[in-house]
Amino acid sequence: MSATLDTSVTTPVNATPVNTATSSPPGATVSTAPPHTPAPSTPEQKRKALWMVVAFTLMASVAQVLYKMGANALNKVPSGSVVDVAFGSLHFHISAALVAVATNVPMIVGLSLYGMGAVMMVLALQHGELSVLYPIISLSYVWVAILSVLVFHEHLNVYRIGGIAVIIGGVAVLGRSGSR
Amino acid sequence: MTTPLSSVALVNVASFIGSLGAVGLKGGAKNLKLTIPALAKNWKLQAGVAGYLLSSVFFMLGLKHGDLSVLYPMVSVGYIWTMLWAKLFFGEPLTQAKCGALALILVGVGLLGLGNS
Repeated sequence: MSATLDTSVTTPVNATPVNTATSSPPGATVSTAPPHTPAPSTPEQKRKALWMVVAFTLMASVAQVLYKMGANALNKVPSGSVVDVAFGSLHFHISAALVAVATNVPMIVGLSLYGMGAVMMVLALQHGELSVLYPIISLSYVWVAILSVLVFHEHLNVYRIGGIAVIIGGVAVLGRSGSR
Repeated sequence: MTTPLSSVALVNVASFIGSLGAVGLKGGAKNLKLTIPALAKNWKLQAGVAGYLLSSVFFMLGLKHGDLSVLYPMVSVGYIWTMLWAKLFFGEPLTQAKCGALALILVGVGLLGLGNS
C-alpha cells in the first residue's frame, strides 16, 4: 500500500513497464520527476492494483448482501409514522423512516464497506487501466455464488459452476493483460 | 418473486451512472495527492465519488423490489459502458484480449443468473 501512495505524480494510462533498475526509490519520485511527466507504473504496482480490486470485490459482495438485508428491513417501516425520542427533558418527534435508516446496522455497515471499497478502487486506478480493472469487479458475482453455497447452503448446479469458471477465466485474461 | 420493470430500469440507470463514476475516479486517481487541499481541488475525484454514491442510491431503490438473482447480473452491463469510456476518455486500447475477457465475463454472469433462477 505504501508503495502505491509514494508516487503521488500522475500515472499514464498506457504506461509501459519500466526496468526495475531505473525506478526511483520510494519518496524520491516526486522530487526528481517534473510535475507533468508522470512516472510509469511498475509491473509490481500494476499487480498490486489488480489484487486491490480483487479485495474490493470481496468487500463489495459482503456489502451487497448487507444492502439487501437493510433495504428489506426499511420496507417494513410504515410510511409517515413518527417515533418519540427523549433526551432527559427534551422530547422529539422523529420520522420513523429516518430512525430506521440511522439504526439500520446492515445498511450502515454495507454503505461503509462500499465507501472503503471506493477508496481502494481509487488507489488501484492510480496504477492500472480502467478497462482492465473495472470488469474485474465481476469477481464479486463469484464471491456471492460461493457465499450462497457455503453460508446459505444453496444448491451448486451446472449453470453456477459454469458461470463461476467462465468469469474466473475472463478475469484471468484481464489480469494477464493488466500485469504487463 | 417477480421483478418489476421499474427495478430493472433503476438497476440499469445505476450501472450506467456507476460507469461514469468510474471515469471520474480514474481521472481523479491520475493526479492523486493525499492532502486535504489537493483532495478539495480534485474535482474529477469528487465527481467520481458523487456518481458512485448516486449509483448506489439508484441501485438500492432498484433492489427494494425484485429478485437479487435477476437484478444483480444486470450491473455487468456497466462493464461495457466502462470499456467504451476508457477508450474515449483515456485512450486505453481495446485489445482482443480485453474484449474477449469482457465477453467471457458477460457469458459467465448470464450463466450464474440462469443458475440462480
